[in-house]
Amino acid sequence: MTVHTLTATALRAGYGETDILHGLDLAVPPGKITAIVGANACGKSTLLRAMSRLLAPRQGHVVLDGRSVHNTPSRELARTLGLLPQSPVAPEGITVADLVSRGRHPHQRLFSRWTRKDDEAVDRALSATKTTELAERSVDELSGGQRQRVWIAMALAQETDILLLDEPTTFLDISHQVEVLDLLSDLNHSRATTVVMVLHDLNLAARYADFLVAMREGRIHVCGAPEDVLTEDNVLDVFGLESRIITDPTSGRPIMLPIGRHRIATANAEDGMFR
Amino acid sequence: MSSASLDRIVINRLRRSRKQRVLIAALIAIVVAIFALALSYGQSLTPPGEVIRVLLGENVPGAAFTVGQLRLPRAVISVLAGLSFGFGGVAFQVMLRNPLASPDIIGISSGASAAAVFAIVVLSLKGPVVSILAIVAGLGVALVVYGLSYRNGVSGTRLILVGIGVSAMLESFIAYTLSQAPAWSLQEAVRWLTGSVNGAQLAQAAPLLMALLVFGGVLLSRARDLEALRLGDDTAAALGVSVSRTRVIIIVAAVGMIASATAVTGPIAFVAFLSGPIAARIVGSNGPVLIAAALIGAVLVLAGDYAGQFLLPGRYPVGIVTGVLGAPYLIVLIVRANRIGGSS
Amino acid sequence: MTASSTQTPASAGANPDRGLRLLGLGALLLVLCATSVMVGTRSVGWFDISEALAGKVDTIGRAAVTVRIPRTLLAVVAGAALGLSGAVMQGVTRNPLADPGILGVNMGASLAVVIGVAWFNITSAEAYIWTAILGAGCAAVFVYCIGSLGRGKATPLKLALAGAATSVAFSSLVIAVVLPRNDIAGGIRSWQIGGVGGATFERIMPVLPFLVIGFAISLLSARKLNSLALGDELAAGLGERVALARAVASLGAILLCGATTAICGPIGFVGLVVPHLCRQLVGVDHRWLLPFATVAGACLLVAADIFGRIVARPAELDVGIVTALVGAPFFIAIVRRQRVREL
Repeated sequence: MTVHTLTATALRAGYGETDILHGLDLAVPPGKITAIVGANACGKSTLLRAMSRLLAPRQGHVVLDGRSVHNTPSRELARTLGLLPQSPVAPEGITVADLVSRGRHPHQRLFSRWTRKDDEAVDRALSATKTTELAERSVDELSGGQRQRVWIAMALAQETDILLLDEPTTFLDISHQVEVLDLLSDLNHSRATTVVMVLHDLNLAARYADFLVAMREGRIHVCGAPEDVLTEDNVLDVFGLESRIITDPTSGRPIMLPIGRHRIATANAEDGMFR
Repeated sequence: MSSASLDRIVINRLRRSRKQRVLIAALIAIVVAIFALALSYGQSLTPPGEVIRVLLGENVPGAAFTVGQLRLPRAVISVLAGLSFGFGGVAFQVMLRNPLASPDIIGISSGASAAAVFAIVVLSLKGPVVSILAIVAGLGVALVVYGLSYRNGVSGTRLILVGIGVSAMLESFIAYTLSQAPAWSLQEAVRWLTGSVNGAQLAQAAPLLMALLVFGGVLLSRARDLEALRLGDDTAAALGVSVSRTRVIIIVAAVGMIASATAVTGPIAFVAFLSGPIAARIVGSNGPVLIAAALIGAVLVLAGDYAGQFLLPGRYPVGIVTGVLGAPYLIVLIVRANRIGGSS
Repeated sequence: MTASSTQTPASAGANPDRGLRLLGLGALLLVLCATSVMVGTRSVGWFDISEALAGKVDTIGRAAVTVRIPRTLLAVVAGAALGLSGAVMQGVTRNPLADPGILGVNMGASLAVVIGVAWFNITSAEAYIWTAILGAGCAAVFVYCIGSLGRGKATPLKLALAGAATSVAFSSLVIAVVLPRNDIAGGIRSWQIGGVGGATFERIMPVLPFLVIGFAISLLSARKLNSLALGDELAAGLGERVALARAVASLGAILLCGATTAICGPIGFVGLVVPHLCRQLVGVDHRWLLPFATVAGACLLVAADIFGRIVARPAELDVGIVTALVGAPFFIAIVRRQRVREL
């Protein structure tokens, strides 16, 4: 698997008259899982969209393997960089197999026919997401978690080395969230796919990511290994929230315990029991 | 990777495309059948043998005129116009992800009609000049609507709404012009507006065929991108489609086709509107909708003209027939379309 | 569309301000009416007007006045009805793009009248009015119902599309009904344009009772519309009977635009433009918005009529044309300004 470098330099971007990203630098570690976290409207989605060429930056560059992303033809880029946007639209009545096969679009030329390679890619995508049994079912009938896996399968069928995901777990219940994140980890381990995803849940981000990026008001506040990023000071700066950080006994990664105004044990209780 | 699952995928895919091919072939057969009917059976029955001989160039007394001069041009223009309307209409509907977003509603037809009415009533023009003006106006209106809906990119919603507004303006202009028109040009203008293939000439077929081949070819070359657009602008872009460029190309091609057909026959109500949804019912909305819609457009115009001439009390131009029959179906369509969900 | 006004409805400080503005609008209306009587193919002075009002119609100028006064009156009444009807419709549907023309309501009234004339030979003014109201009501219910089906509620886009497609379908049916009847075709075509020309007191009288009832119902729905603006669930939480409130308010709007269409033919865009302009002047409190929309609608239509009479001398541009040519760009401007998610 080739190693790809994806970097953003001095990125300034936004919609309408306002800027959302104010001169941001980011080097995505190749072959690792990166999670982007931050408060609402801090620019996480905007960053992802700018990196995937959906949004043209006003200043700065996004560079993939030494070439500016915006000078690369869309089709060529789509063979290396895949994006799963926030609310994808499934055409009515489409079957799972049909939808997943749309992922082969960037690999097909104007008059090219459907080849065995395409079928194999679809099959691999379906089995990686464990949706093979659902192949002939209509996407409308599926549950939220199943549907999300199908969309990921479509992105997988694209066979890209880099996969960007905009809030892939936001509307899923906890078991489906873990399902999707485990799937992305499998992908990262088996194919060395570089994964960059926007997540809301800090703790899941800390557990599954190798590299954590915390954004605040259009800039990167801090980035690095989860242990270094998820500190009480950083949580206070980025989310305005008091917290305690302890180590998760299951994964060895940090876990953030939010401290609000109610239901807090007194400072003396080391074992965490409420009084 | 299990080979059994791979085989199943391949088999299902092959089965699906075979079914689609059969349906398309059936549609082609229907078009051919109605075409043959229109050539042989009108006021009088011309036996098929004679029809074929006329087509081959022989001068069969009696039949040569009826078939060659009356029925053939009519049928040919009907097919070409129907293909154009159907193809152009479905392209818009797929691109805007909404079956109700038809060129009839978003101003293209109104633009062509307004230009034609203006040419006929105010400039006292007739013939090919009117047609050319109609084409130019159709393209111009499309450009204006696109430009007006551009704000950091074009959203389907905004395009549709702006089109509705522009269409309202044009319709009132048409109504005003008609109200001020002197009797003889009023008649001509109204005749043009109802849409018919009366008085069709084979000479008109050549440019129409050219337009169909050129614009249709462009649309077919973008068919895959159009399919990808159905997944939403973002997903399509992620799959490597340059969304705005594809949109512009599709709009130009679709408008070109529709305007060319309108220039020859006038606006034939509802063919552009209904061909797509009917095609989706037949081949499924994820099947070869583009080609199916073109064929259904041809069927609608051929059958509509034939019915208007011979199956109804009194002769009606095809535009009236499709309008009257189309209206109730359109209502059913609106109900169904909104039940399922609209564009994004 | 949310009730995003920062003024509370009972903010005492704003009231005199709004009251003044309303008076200002009223004064504008009077000026416009006077202009309307004076201006036209033949200009007329004050002396002639007062003479004509006194009954002396010996000059052409004074005769012109006797024609213009009922015309102006009709424009005032029709404009008020359409402006108010549009404001109510926008409140009921919480949709900034609602308008009797766009929602196909006018076309429904037209179709009903055309069917009545062609198949049932209706001739009396009352028959016209009842038929138009019936058609308007059916169309409104139809478009709203199907605009509400499917994913999401009745979004502006879905309603507009349902309305536009329904209009197209109905106008096709109108053509079909009229086609075999050459005798009425010309009359229908000129009625379809929508204008206040040829108005006489005799023609206006029958429609007044309907309009009065429509005005009363609509204006009294102001408070209900304020609650509805918060959304169905919140309104119900505040004790409002949502379905009933909607039905009553809609009834008022339909009476107004049905009756107006019966006399004048379909006039579009007044109901769209007027509430938007009034919201800039007076905010979203319907207790002020509705009266403002009434007066402003009257002003707009009288102004449109004056414009139509001046600009195409010696011919006339009917009011329906002027409102479409001016209102459609306004509609487009509104669409451009709204963010797509709100649509």
